[in-house]
Amino acid sequence: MKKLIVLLLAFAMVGAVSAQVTTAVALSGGITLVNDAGQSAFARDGSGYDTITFKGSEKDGKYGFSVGYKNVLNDAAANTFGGLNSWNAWYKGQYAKITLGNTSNGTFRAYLAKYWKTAFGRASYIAGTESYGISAESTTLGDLIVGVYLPVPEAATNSVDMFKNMNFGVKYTMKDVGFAQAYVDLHTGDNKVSGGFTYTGVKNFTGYVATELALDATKYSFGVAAKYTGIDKLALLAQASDIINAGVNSFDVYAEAGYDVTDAIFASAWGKFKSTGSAFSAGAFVDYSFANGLTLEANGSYDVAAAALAADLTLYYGVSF
Amino acid sequence: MFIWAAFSVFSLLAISCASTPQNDPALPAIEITIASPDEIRQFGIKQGENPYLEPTSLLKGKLNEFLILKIHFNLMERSKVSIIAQSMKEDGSEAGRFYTAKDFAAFWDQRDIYTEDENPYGNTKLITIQRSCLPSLDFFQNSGARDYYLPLVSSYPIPRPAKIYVQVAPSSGESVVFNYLLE
Repeated sequence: MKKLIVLLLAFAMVGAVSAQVTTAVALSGGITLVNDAGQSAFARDGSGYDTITFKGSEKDGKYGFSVGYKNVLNDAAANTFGGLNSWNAWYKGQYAKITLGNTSNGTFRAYLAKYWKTAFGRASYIAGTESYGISAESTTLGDLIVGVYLPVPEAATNSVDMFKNMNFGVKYTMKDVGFAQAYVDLHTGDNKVSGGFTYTGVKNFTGYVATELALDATKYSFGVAAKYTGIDKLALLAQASDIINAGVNSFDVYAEAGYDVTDAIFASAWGKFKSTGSAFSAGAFVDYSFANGLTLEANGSYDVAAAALAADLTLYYGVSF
Repeated sequence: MFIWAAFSVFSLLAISCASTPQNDPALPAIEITIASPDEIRQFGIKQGENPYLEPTSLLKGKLNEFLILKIHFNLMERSKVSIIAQSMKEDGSEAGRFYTAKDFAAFWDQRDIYTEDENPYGNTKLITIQRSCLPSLDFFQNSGARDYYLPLVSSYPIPRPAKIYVQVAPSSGESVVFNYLLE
């Protein structure tokens, strides 16, 4: 932990004294202060860990790097500090942006509005045995971006076989309409095809469609979402996904209405239905944001099928240094 | 089936509520102003969702300062638009940098607190940038009313005094010049 703090401060100092580089050091996570059973837990919402990220780039954005660690604040034996979450270095040349390391297919992933609210909310991340490699994305084709990713596994692999696991992506932005993304992942065991479209052609309305076909796993996912923010400080969201996994179909639907009570307070009510077990749940939460990145959230929900009431008070932090 | 039908109805209602404004011949073809706080807040009031709010540090406060310009188009016909945008300190050097959509997205990619896989706001910032930020310094613009936002980005604070100069030249009419002294 001491090494981490020294590294963090040194890194932040470099950014503070030099006009030739930009740096960013950020920490994010959450602490459940208390739940309805009177228990507390240090866990980030959803993924269950905190992260610290270091990013740096040359002032004109020609080259840079990103390093992320997880579980930096967790002393439990199973989650010792040093869990490298991601790292990569990148260079933006005349024709392409080249990224080396633990990279991603971020440019080509299709998203729904609140991807974590339904079983399928976005296309897959490059992960597991194919998470290290080299990616190239075009920079000179205007509204079109094409990309290729070559996984270079940590375990020695036949070089020719590596090419059989390549990924290909494409993104096209249509001015005043939206953008479309697609990628193909040829990695053995995956063989995925993904595509999506985000519609931004009308003020205050955003429409989302995303789909992913995992051919080896015979899993087909499809999702849609619509978000409308045209009524005062109200934000309306509806999102649904449908998954056919090995011939078994399931779907879920999520709807939310949120309101900015003040600049610091956001209140929201939601409902969710899952076809598996015909489970319906509903709830509400209130966020209070303060101190440049801290949010205190009070949650309450009711699961109709289980006839169970749940509540918690959680502090989320997403702060830069 | 019912779910997809409900989605379609919701989407159609939302789209029909938000009609696209037509051009108004009584108004100027192009207007350049400094975006008001309310215009900036229409994209959200949280740091995590609104790309036009400066990144802030827990201890140091603002890391960058933005000056957001609004360019309102009210064109009678589809036109090619060319833009010159400059910011200058007293000594003649650059006071900050104007970002169009692709570069502004790259700016945020380097400063966002969250990694791509863990961002609780998803790609909200990216969508807002693609929806509202000036697409480039040379582009075709359709007829009708349309607002774009052009951020000037500097380390905090923007050196003052700074001269801001923006010229917007449509192929279908006369150029419009915006001069502003930031003090």
